[in-house]
Amino acid sequence: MKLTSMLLALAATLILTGCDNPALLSLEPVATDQEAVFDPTLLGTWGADHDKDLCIFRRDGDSGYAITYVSDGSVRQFSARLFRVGEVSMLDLTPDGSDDFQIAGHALVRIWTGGGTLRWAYLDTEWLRKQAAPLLPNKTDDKRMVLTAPGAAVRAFVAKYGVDDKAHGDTAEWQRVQPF
Amino acid sequence: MPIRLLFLALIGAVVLTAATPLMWLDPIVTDREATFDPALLGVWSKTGGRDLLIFRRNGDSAYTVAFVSGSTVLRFEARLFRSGEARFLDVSPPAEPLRIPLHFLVRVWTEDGAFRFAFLDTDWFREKAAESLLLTAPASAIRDLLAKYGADDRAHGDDITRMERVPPVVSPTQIE
Repeated sequence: MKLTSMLLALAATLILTGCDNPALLSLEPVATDQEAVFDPTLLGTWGADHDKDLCIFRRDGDSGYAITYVSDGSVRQFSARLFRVGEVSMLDLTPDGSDDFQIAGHALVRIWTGGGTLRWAYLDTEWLRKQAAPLLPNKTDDKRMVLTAPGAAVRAFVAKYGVDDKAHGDTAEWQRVQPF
Repeated sequence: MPIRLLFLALIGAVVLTAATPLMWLDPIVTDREATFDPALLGVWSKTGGRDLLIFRRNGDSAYTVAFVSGSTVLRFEARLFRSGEARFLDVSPPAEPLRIPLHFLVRVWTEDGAFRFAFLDTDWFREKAAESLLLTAPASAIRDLLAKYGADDRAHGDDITRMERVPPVVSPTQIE
């Protein structure tokens, strides 16, 4: 890896390590391609008013998204699948790229769209982790819980508990960045 | 080239066809169970080699390990512990967002001015590992495995890397 790439990766890591590091991850994908739905209104470029960060959603295959997160010159790539539980929309978000010493986890993100706005929040509150602890096999340390259950079991859990407002913390709000 | 292969190949621990080291989700030892040996601290290199392995202290009983090869730097966290007559490092990369770090085992030996290490990854050890091969195996099962077979030379075979201490420019206490 080139030094520049390493510095960019480190910078991106530092950015995402702050408030954006979810405390709940699944080892397995939560939504399969068959379960995923595609919403074209997510496509495009999103940004927050208060900073210059950009998040670009592109289509990836039939029903997936390729997400590029740009912050102060650093770039981080993710893949995501959108799935619905009733009226609630969620993303199964995972980082791109391979690392032989780490497994790419799957974060659950609840999203709300409408009126040129994308709001999102990780499903990772202490309340949600407390619900998961007795129901799903997991590995937990002082920083986060990793669910080791099959994806279908995690999905069933999320369908029951993830739709509760107690499952997510504060939401972030992004506006659509108008094309030139 | 995958990072693991790059790392393993660069330190000369294995040839590129070697098996993947066993890895687990669980830390094999906690901070409280780990021991600390200041003899590991410092900069190490193979005889005549340019790559460096740098051990620094991280908290009370852990190490930060950096492997430097040209412009490539791989960082790890490590905890030293003893199982029977052998000493091991529980090694894992620093946690990154949305990634789940894996732990692997390295047997270590220290002697005057030299440091040797080997990965526990032989077919013999894998056969003994059996159920502990599972990624989700609990730390207690892994420690039981080590207690039974970890000190056996057949667990690591002949792939032992020897490194010598690079004379410090500063004293070891300053590094610590």
